[in-house]
Parts: sequence; C-alpha cells; structure tokens
Amino acid sequence: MVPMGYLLDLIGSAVLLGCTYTLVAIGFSLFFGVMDVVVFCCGDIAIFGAFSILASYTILNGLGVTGTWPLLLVILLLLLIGILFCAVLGLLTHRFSIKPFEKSSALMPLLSTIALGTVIREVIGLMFMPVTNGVADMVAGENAVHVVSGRNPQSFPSLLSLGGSTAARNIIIVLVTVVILLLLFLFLNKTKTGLAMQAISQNKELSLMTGINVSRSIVITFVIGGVVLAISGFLVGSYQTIMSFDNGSMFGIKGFSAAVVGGLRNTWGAVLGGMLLAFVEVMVSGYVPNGSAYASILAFVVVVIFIVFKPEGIIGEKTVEKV
Amino acid sequence: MSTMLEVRNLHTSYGRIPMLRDVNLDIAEGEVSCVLGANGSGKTTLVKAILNMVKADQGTMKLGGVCIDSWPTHKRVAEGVSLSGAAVGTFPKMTVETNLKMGAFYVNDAKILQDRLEEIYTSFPVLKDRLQQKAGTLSGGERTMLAIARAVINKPKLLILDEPSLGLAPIMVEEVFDIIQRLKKDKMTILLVEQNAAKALAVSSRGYVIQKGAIVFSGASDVLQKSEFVENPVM
Amino acid sequence: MKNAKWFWATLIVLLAVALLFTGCGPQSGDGGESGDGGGSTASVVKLGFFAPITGGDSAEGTAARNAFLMAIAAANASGEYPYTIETIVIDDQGTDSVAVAGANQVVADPAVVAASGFWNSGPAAAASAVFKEAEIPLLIWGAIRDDLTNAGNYPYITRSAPTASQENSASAAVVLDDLGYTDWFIVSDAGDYGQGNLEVFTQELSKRGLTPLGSEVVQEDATDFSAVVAKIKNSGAKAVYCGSTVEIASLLKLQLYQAGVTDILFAGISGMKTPDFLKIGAEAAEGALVVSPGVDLDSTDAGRAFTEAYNLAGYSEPIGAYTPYAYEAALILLNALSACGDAPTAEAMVDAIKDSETTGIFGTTTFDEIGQTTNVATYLNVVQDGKWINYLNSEYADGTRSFGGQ
Repeated sequence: MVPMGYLLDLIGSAVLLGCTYTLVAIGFSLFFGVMDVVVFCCGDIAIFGAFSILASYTILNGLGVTGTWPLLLVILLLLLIGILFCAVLGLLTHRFSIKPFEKSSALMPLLSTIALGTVIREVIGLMFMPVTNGVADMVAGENAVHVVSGRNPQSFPSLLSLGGSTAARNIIIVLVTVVILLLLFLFLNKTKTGLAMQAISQNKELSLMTGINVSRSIVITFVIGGVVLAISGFLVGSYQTIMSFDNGSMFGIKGFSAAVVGGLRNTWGAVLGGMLLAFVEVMVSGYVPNGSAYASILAFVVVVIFIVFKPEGIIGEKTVEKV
Repeated sequence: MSTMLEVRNLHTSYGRIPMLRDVNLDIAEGEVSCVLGANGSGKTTLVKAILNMVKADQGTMKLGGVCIDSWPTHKRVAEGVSLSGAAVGTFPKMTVETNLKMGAFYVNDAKILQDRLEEIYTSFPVLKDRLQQKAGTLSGGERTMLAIARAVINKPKLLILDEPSLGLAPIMVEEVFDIIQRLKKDKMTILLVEQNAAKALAVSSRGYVIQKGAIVFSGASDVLQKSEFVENPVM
Repeated sequence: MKNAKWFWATLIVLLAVALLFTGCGPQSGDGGESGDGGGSTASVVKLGFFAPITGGDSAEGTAARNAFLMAIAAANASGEYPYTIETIVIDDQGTDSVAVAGANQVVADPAVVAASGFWNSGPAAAASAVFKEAEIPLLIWGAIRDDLTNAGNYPYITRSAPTASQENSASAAVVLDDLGYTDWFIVSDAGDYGQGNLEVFTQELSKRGLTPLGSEVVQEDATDFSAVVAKIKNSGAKAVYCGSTVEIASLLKLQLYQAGVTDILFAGISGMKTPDFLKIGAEAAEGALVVSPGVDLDSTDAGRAFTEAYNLAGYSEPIGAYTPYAYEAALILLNALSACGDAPTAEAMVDAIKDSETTGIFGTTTFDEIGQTTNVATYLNVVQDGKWINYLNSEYADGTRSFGGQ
C-alpha cells in the first residue's frame, strides 16, 4: 500500500514547485495585463537574474565578504544586484522587443521575445564565465574565485539552507513567495502606480483619457516585472541548487502555461495556475507508473483544456462590459 | 465671456485617408456647446484629437488661452480636459469607488479627494449605493452615470461628453440630460457630442455640425434648430 | 512605413546578436594559427565537424569541438601535410533538422573530404543518410545508440566511440555480477541517449533474470525530480541506475540525498562523469558509480598529455566524457589523410578511414566489418570525498567504504 507519508512528500514537492512556477507566471500576467502582449522570455529573465546573483556571489566570495559579513546582508545585497540586472533587462526587453512592434499584430512581440529568450540564454552561456572571472580578477586579484564555463551546470550558493537543512530552505521559499505576492497585491491595489497598471490592463483607452501616463506605466511594469522575476530566479536557484544557462526556456513555458490557466491578466489566477500545474505534474509523476514521462504533457493538456473551455482562466470573471 | 477651448485649422488623417479637414471650434467658458454629426462623420476623431489621442497633422489648440499643442494626453487631462462617454466605458474589474478615484487621478490630497467624492455622491445618489460593486456588473444606465461622474470628479475646465446617451433606455436618456442641465447650472464648460440633435440643442447654447470631417455649420443652437441640417434626414 | 522599418531593423539586430554570440551557422576554423600552408586555393582540404554548440548539450559539444580543432591546428602547424586543413564547424543544436541542413551544406562543398560529428544519436542518424548518399565518410565521435553503425551504412559511417551496449555491459558486469545488486530502479531521460541506455540496461538485467522494481522516464529539460525520488523511496529499491546526462543525473542524486535516500547505490553512465557532477557537493555526490568509455586519462602518459595540452590551450569548457573521443576522431581523420597522398578525395578517404589503424589516447583504433571501433575500453569511476576517482583505486573497491543498499 502507498503510505500516507508518500502523499505528504508529494504535496510538499508540489507546493515548492508551484512557488517557482507562480512567480514566473506573475511576470507573464503583469506584462500581458498591461500591454496585451505575451512576453515569452520571462523564464530567461528569471534565470538571467539567478546567474547574475551567482556571478555576484562568486565575486563577493573572492573578496572574502561572504564569510565575514552577516548572511542576511549578503543575501540582501545579492538580491539587490539581481533585481537591478533584471530590471534593466526588463527595460531592454521593452525597448527592443516590444516597443518597436507597438502598432503591429500581437504576434510580433511574441516572436521577438521568443528570439530574445534565445539571445539571453546564449549570452548567459557565453558571457557568464568571462565577465564573472574578469570582474573577480579585477576586484579580488589573487584571491579571485573562478567559475568554469558558462555552459556547464553551475552550483547556486545555498544561502537559504541554514545549517544544511533543506526543510528550512523550503519553508523560506514558500514564505518569500507569499510575502512577494502580498507586496505585489498591496502595490497593485494601494498605490497610484499599481492602480494605473491595473487600469491599463482593463481599459487602455480609458486609462489614457483618465490622464494616466501609459508609456511611463508600461516602463514601470517592466521594472516591477524584472524585480519579481529576479526574486523568482533567486528562489529557483536556491531550490534547484544546480542551474543551467538554458533552464529559462522550461520555466518560461511552465510559467506561461500557469498564467494561461490563471487567465493571463489575473495575478491570483497565476498563483492558482502555477499550483495546479505543479500538482498535476507531481501527482502524475508520483502515482502513475512511469508517469514522469507524461507529467509535463498532461500539464499542458490541462492548459489546452483551459484555453478551449475556460479561456478567461480559472478565476477569470466574465464581464458584461465589452469595449 | 472668454473662450475655454479654441481649435484652429485642425487637420488629421488615418494613414493616408484624411479624417478631419480644417476644423475650427470656439468653446465658450461656462457654456454647453454641441457637435452634431452622423456615424462616421468624424465626431469621435475630433474628440480624440482634442485629447491628443489622435495626432493632428496641422492646426493649433488653446486651452484657456494657453497653447496645448505639445501636451501629451495625460497632461491635457491633468490640466483640465475630461472625457466621458458610453463607448469609453469604465474599468470593469474595479469597484465603483476605485473608478471614481481613478477619475481624480491627479488629486493627491486625501481630504480634497474625500470632499470631491462626497460631492459626487450628492449629485449621483445611485452610485452611492453601489460603491463596492464592480463596475462591470452595473446596469447600462448606472455605468453611464459612473462614466460621467468619473469625468466630473476631476473638476475639469472642459468636460467632453461623447454620445453619453448612446444605447440607453429613453428614461435613462432623460436622466443623462437632466445631469447635463445640472452641470450647466454649475457653470461647467461642456462640449456635448451627439447624434440626438433635438436633445442636444435643447441644452446647448452653441452648435456645430460636422459632415465628412469638416464643420459645415456653426452658430447659435436656436438658429441651428431651425436650419436645414436638423430637418435634413441625412443627419 | 515606420513600423516595418523598425521591425526589420530590430529583427536584423536580434539575428546579428544571436549569430555573434552563439555562433549559429557555420564557423570556419582553419585551426592553424601558423597557417602558412601556401597561398593557392588548391591547397586547402576541408573537414566537417558537428557538435551541439548551443542549447542544452553545448557544454559537451563545445569541449569536443575544442579538442577536434586542437588536433587539426597541431597537424597544420606540424608541416606534415602539403595543404591546409580547414574545419567547417556546424552547430547541430542537438536537433535532427539542423543537423541535416548542416550536413547538406558540408557535402555541397567540393573541398570537403570527410566529416566527424555528433553527440546526439538522433542528429547522427539523420545526417548519416546525407553523408551516405553523398558518399562522403562520416566518423561519429560521441553518439552511442547501437544502430548508428550498421552493414547498410558501411563503409561510409564509422564510429570511434563504444556503443551503449558496450558501455553498459561493462558496468553491468560490476554492479550486477560483482556487487550483486538485484533490486533496481531505472531512471532515464526521454531523449535518444536515455532511451538507448534504458533499453540496454534492461536487457542486461533480463539476461540475469532480473526485472527492475520500477522505472521512470523523465523529460530532458526537467529539473524537479521530487516525485521520482518519492517513488524510488517507496519502491524499496537498493540501487538506482540513471541512464542520462550529467544535468539530470546530478540533480537526481542531489534530490535523493536531500530527501534522505542515501542507503542506496547510485550507478550511471558515461555522460555524467564530468566535473559538473561534483557541483552538487561532496556529501551529495558521494558514492556515485559510473562507467566511462576509454581509459582513465590520469592513468596513462597519452591521457595526461592530452589533458595538459587541452588545459594549456586555455579553453573555458572543461574536458567532458567524450572530449578525448573527438580528439581521437581528428587523429583518425588525419591519419587517413596521410594515407591519401597530396590530393585526398572523399572516395579515397572512405577506404582510408575504414582500413585505418590509429594510435591515440585510448590505444589503437581499428574498425570492424560494420565500422564500429574494435578498441572498446571502459573503466569505472566513483565519487569519493568530492572527487571522481578510478573505482579500482577507491576505498569502495578495497572494502573500506561500501555503497548503500548492501
């Protein structure tokens, strides 16, 4: 008989996996909500964030900072760097992959962000090592710690595994996800900038007429999206421990699917979508013999079912008003 | 009486197709003016051009004597041009209250905002009962009320109402025009864009007729009332 | 129109950046820094080289390319060849269609006399048809699916690396016969590599009358194996066989460790024996046992010389399990070129390769009647205290330490 502990193990795994999907999915729904375009390189931006944190860690390590400074300070500093990089990457994404196609069909930004995703992946693969090692040499001289190759799997610093415990790390991952969601909720509903972003997502023309500076809001959206994706990159890296430069494409597809299940515009839908996708995958892997081979496929079947039967998403409401 | 909005020699186009040709408007402060025109005559283009949502090919505009040609849309709104209309709609997933607050996007003082909201609740009592309801779930009439209230809360120098009565039941149309009457009494400058010529001319003091993107008549409303444009079925 | 202009400008910039950074498309590496092989065009002989340079398998593919070009550069510099040898490097991206397109491009070049390639079996099989059709010889250095070399493709397609069966039977002899594990759980990936390993290891089990307690096929880009770990834990298996690449194997080993499943043998296949496996940490990696093709590089002079030369050349990608095979493939092609005189042709190269006898890092390579190497050497490695060491020299072999599940 399958013991109870087995089910609990699986539920725990699904929640963690769901957290990593959720944060990427939120990136998708933020961008789609405000601009009506699918920014397909969200996963790659997150992994770019993870790699910039990894690079900064390597450099700090060479400086001997990681051992002497308080752990929390190191983590915050690394997060800040990751956030900075992702925010800038978000802006570049907007400038070069979205803005030029503002007046063309929605397919254009989709294709151009798919292409951009490939560029980001390969840039990580190619530039991660020379840049990291170059900077490390420059600041730390002889003490520099080096990474080997950008295309090989890299090990992410286990900053959250307090005392080597994965249980503590897992709890922190879930807690940070919840905190990020709450902060995002407060930002979207309690600040003018957040309300303006929601307004654009609901009625772009009216937002203009209400006096919202739409182009500025779009830029802010990309910065906020970059911040969320950087944190998700950090959590994904901490959870996986081993990262590859091309992990972004898988996370991108999973995050996109989660966002579709959630209704694409809806932040809470993205959370439910991420969790649903993770639960389907883990439960199919766990209970169907040889199920891992079909887990992803079944998860995508769920997505297709949603697209066909409930395109407005899992908690998307049908609104009477159509503009 | 001074001019609130002065439009001179306005031309716009959609791609290569000319839309507005040599449009001139003089909207007097504290008055209701109306623009009459059939579907596709260029009414909505004119409204959007005033807000700079459609770029002008040539022409200049002055708001309260200040040239606003270089102002982007959000600046024009912030400086007092508000637009409302049935086609413009509301933010469907936001509550009525949030919709109103979005209307006063440039009011940063919580106290002033609260006062403005109270004023709106007095003049639009129907909204007060629905404050926490999502705008998308309101009835058509209630939504029109909300759309107008959202524009009024900004205390605009110029309120543009783009076909506010479109698609409403007759009883609601009455109510909308009652509101316009009330706003007129409060000396709000209003540009009313309508197909319903009789109703529009009844509340307005000056009228324009737009056909194929050009103003073909401008003058006092009572003169326009008796002119061929209103009797002509082409309208 | 303004939009169209923007669209094309952006598209071109993106493409240019992609090409610049990833080296998609062919790169011509003459490999010879000295490059003093005469000026006339008649004195150039070209070789094709295929490897995944971008995408998920690029770590292995790039290292192989480095080793291949290193051997060609040395040959050009030696002055032994009366012509310059140029290499057309094709990034097959581990994808069949890209490999076929690249193969067509290579065979269309009249200066090409032979090619070597492929880490992935799918692209190898797809491109083999093109080479056979064009009657240009292809020497496979890294794809291990058994059927790539066969009588139908002979003599055009040859392979210098061992097949999946050859590798797995060596490992099976140790873990099944010597160590005597019977309760197995098999994990493999859905790609050609994983499927090939799954098939031959299952055969090894059934030869001995065993059936696995469970088996699981995972997606090639999967990173979360928590459900698989729960299944392994629940199955009561005493040994896990992982027939996949280092990306999957290291994560699986790590996640087993993190879930406390440590009293178990973790056995695997050549693809995971790279320094990357050790990045999961000494404790998590401890006791992983893999079979590797060839001989331990550190155990022979030729191996040590190769490692030294490779490191000296300053390549950023570390030597992978098949990197020496790409180097050997270059040696075999160079050897065959020497046998073809001053003006080698593809036709002459077909015979020269199949009859060649080349001494490289792993001993002497000759080919059997279907073009498969006869030089099948394998050895076992185990992780001990955060390092890969030869199983025979480990504390596991002398009984000081023991694998889990015994």
